[in-house]
Amino acid sequence: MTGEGNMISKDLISELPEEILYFTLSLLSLREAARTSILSSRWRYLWKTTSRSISLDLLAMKGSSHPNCGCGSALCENGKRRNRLLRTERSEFIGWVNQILQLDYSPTLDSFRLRFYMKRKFAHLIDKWISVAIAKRVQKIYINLSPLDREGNSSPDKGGCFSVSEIEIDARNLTRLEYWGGPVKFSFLNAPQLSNVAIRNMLFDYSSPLTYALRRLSSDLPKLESLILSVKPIQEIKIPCQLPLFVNLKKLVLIFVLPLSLWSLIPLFMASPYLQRLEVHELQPVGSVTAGLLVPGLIVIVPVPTLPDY
Amino acid sequence: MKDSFNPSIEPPKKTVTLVSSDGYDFEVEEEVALESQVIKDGFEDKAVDDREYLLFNVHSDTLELIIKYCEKHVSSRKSISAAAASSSSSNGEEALKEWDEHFISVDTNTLYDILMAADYLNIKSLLDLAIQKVADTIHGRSPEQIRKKFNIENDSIIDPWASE
Repeated sequence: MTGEGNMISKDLISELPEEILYFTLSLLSLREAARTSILSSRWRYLWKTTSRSISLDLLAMKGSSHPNCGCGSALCENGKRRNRLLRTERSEFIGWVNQILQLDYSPTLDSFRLRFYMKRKFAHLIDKWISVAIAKRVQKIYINLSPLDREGNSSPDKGGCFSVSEIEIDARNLTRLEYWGGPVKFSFLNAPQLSNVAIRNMLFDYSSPLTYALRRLSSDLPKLESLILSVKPIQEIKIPCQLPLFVNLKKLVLIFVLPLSLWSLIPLFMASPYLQRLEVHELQPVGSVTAGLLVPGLIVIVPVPTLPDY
Repeated sequence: MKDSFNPSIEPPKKTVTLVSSDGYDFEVEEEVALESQVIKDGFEDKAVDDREYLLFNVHSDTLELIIKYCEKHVSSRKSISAAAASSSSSNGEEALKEWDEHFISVDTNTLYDILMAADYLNIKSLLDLAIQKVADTIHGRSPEQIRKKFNIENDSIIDPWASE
């Protein structure tokens, strides 16, 4: 055993096993962990090893001691003061993220999480950050740019949020994509491995997912196995009788708001000969209560046997 | 509260012997020793009369602290679950937390010894407590203050953040 008594001047902490030091640093905010890199040569690269996943939000920036952890402190204010604070907080955040990404030399990254209220004019910055993460072969990307409400929950319907109009997917190794937000146009340029897709528009804001799904999705995503879509009121959809085949699709989940008729979706089912599971979820529109099938959250699970004659 | 307690049906406490690196024997109750995952693993395989553990990496001063910690946690757990069973209100968990905080408020050398011993004996709650203590010490301090606190010698030639 080392050091009882006369070893006061010895640097014992630096002699701890690396796992213990990693764990210690993981309890600190990213900012504080990064700061330990200048303690001594021993500490220089320690924090980087802990940052296999990067979580960029207010909590990480300010540390857990921040009174409004997770929630934008500026958003708790009102009027002009709020706007000024928002601007300051945002520019502070941008500077901080740039610094973190610049300092992070780790060659790979497990996950990249960005949670902050950003405006559209910062799109180029966000692009840059994402491309840094992609260059590090990130496995998971989570991005939420909507304003935060007082509880720190996201409230995308409160307006003023960053709106994306088009998303291009060019990711050779991407296997899973989930999108939940305003209506956007998807272009799958190169996603040969993508097998798991969920495209959900925000409540009461239906647009193109189904239409898109019926046109190019099956050819763009040859490996597609699971598809979750929120779709327009059924009356407005005109489904062509002949659809390109979804050769690998095994699971299909459709989320409707208005009365649905499975009948009109038959061409879609016909195009999915290997479907094993179909779920149809009803979302109850506010204020209208009808009987029968229109129970909120009703799930119909229809096990479809292998269709003959294919 | 104690009226249901009947010592006559209590079986005699089984004990194990822990031997520190400097050769002191510590006789502790079995359940206290079992707080250590290392002792727990393979405990059943050991013959009952051979339950003696030589802890080459743990000095008697540290072992005393470790045993104190484990005893406290075993007894607190019992009283907390007893209070829960009789549905009487208890602030046992809070009291234990306070006790922990007090327990880990030690100088850097002792903290290091506790960390190494908790790691060696694999006592997860104690390891977490000690690591949290190190993190708390770093938290909110400038690099210079951290160096001073832990006696870290700055051997970096260039200090890239020196202007800060």
